[in-house]
Amino acid sequence: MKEPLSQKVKNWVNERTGLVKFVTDFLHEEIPGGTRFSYTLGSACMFLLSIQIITGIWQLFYYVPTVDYAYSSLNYLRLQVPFGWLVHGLHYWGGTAFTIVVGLHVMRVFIWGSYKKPRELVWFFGIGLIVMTALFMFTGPVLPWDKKGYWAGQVGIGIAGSVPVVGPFTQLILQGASKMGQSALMRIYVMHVALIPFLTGLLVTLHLIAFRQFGEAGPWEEKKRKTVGYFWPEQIFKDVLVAFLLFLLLVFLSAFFPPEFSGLADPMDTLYTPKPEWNFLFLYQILKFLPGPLEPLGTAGIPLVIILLMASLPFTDRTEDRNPFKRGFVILGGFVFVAAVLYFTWLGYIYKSEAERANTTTAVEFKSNVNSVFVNPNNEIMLANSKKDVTGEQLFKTLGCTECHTANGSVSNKQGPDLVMARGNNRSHQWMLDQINAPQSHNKKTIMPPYLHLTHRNVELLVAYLEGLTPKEVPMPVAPAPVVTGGAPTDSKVLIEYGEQLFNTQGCTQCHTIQGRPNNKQGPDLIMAVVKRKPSKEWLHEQLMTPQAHNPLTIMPSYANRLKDPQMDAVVEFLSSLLTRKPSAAPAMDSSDQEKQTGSVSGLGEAVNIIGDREHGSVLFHQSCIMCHGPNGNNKTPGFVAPKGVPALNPINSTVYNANASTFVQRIDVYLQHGIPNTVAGGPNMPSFGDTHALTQAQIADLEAYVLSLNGVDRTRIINPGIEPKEFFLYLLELSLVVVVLSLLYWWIIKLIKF
Amino acid sequence: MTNHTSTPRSQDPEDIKKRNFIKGLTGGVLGLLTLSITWPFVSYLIPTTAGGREERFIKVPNFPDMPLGVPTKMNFQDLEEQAFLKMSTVYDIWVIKHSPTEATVYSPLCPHLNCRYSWDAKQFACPCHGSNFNLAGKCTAGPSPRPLDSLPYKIEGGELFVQWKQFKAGIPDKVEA
Repeated sequence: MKEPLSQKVKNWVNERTGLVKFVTDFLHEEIPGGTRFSYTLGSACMFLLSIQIITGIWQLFYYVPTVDYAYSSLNYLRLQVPFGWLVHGLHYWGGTAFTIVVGLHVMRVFIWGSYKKPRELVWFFGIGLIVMTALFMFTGPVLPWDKKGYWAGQVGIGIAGSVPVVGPFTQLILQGASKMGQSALMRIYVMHVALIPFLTGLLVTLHLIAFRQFGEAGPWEEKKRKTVGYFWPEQIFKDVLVAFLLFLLLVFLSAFFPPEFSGLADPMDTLYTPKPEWNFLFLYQILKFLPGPLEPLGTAGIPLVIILLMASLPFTDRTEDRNPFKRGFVILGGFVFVAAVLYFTWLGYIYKSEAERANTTTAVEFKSNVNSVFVNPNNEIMLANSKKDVTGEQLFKTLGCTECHTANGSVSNKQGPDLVMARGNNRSHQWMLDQINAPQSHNKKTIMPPYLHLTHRNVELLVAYLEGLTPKEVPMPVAPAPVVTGGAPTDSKVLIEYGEQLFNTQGCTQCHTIQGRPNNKQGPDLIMAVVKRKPSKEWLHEQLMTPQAHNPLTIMPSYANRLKDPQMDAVVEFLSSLLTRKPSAAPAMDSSDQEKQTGSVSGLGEAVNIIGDREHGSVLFHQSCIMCHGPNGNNKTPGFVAPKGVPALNPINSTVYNANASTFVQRIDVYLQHGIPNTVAGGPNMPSFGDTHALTQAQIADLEAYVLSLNGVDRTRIINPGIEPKEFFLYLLELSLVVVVLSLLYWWIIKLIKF
Repeated sequence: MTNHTSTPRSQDPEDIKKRNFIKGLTGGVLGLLTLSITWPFVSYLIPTTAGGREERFIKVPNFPDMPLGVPTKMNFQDLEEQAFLKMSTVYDIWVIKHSPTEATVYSPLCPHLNCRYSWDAKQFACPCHGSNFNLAGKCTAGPSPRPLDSLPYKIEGGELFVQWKQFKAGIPDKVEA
């Protein structure tokens, strides 16, 4: 009889590889004590590792490891590539599941005492794999280059650097430069996708070879080991079933709990509180209990001790008996260890930093209680009033003053004046008290809220603090020789130059421009003002000495104490010279103008291409925008008086709104980037946040995502899902149910038929 | 190696039936798993054309200064978008200005096999396979299956705006690629 072709091929391959024996040995392996679901943990690790490898490679089709495109390429993958959400979600949740399943696997081996002779090597390679898992979990989250990942990398590398002796070298190798940036991302990327996977593959192979030598250890009771089960099909069926259930779980998590979008990495953003992934939380929490000098002990010592303890187990727990009830001391130690890790993880999970607590209260309170825009200050005020030993400085820092004011004597881009610089106005004590209790009594147009509910004592404390502020020495430009020696202005050109230097360095530019064009600043453009008013030198002098003499409501500070006479003269001379100065040329053509020329939308910032984080945007909004736009952008909130001409954002004007997130973002981006003068006289202008770099592009993107969310548009909506995530999960669930029902039916039928 | 097959398996028909059932079910679950991974993972690699590129007219610089009646090669810049990247790309076109409000705009690619042709003072000549075209774009010699491809344009305020398009090479009909 002729052999069928398939048999021929099988024989041909087998003669050259011995494959048939290998496979039969593998399939017909006996399992002492019978098959069990608890033995599926190892194969579940293998399954999850395979998922990680496939989804990892699949993500490489789109992801690029550069700091400028990492975040946007990943978001393109997640939102615009069909099933990108699934590939990324499986990888994200797969990593989490892998850590947990590896942990369970280790615990089972530990309780069963399966690390004992002759299986020590299996155990050692396993420990190596735990280290690899930790390295994967450290390097992976950095790659999206979002806020969470950036800080995880920054802190992780810092920890590596704090290890005694080898630390600084390790840090340099990991970082590849003096600070976190492109080099660090590239190195972490290579480690995550090449180096660690290679080592993991090696260790998995060794782990399995060592395991095959002696197979399953089976139950610890001699008697129970007598009965045997078989790998194929009984154990494999259990393995496949567990793998499939895990897959269902991962799809469910990817569909219903997608990884968050924490916004583009932004080292400038101090409002973001970095916190490690859950799997490093216990270490993070333990570090809080260690005083500074002992920190390396925690960062390097604790993981090292854990590894050494585990590695020493086969040598310290030497009895032949694997029964956990007869290894009380070891088992107790293990349970204490696991309990401690879980406890510290929990502590780390619920821990919130000062800043984070402040931010969440802000967000939560504004969400839950929108009765008044000043809800938050008032609650803070109640708190401040109840405190006995509070200082003026603490009040200043906690009552929200710093949202609009700085107090360091230098120019800022906040809404209100720097309060050290404002000291130049020499306001009376009573004026200061009134300004806090009823700012509108000094300036009807002010956007400063009245701090009505502050106790008299606290207002006094605050004023005392403000009065105690001493102007910082601002370096003065050196006066040109003739002015200093002769005293007489021999050369007006020299004097004008000196005046201009003073103008540029002494804070004038905070409120004024000298461009000959309208601006978005608090004060007028001085070329326009001088041309319009043609002031005398005496008038200019008086404006600098006592600005309130010309306008009682002006917020311009007096320069009487700041400028000496010759300097004052120089500034006056400079200002007079503006009458003949030509307006500066309009800003040079830049790339955005070029875009205008090529017909695309003009003046857009980088922010439109960044998927922002609306949660963080909400925090930023309640810091920078709430005073004009109201809580949650709703200017009809009871108790909130919207400044004149400020548009509502919730809901936003229908000509700005668009259901398409990327169109909507483009429409509001222009305002955030460049600002816009108020069309209503006396209303506050929308300041420019992008051009002035008052906010980074990452922050603007977060704010935009928040404003979109106020209007029911999701910045992170999946544009091209393939199949909608939730539907996909349901299809999968239905298919699985069909398989279950059909097989039960089939089983019932063959049970009935006797043959 | 492991002490495999030392104890023979039960040959009870009931047990065999049960074993075969489990084998089948394992295969079924494995198949379902493979299918539910393969399908989305293959779709992931299929490029989407959804949305498409918006059709827009881009300004070609220097049109007002162009000489009349002489074919001139002009460049303009447009933004090309692919995946997560937007890059500015420079395109070239042949423009014949008839009057300040009339012009002919040709794609610079020969319709035969997309070589770039040039103007030799009398006609458009493609260096690759010798196709020649007259001012009207008509093929006067060589293998080109159709005349030169004109591009959509408009003239507003004396400026020329062109929409870039590319057409399939080597076929008699002008079909967008």
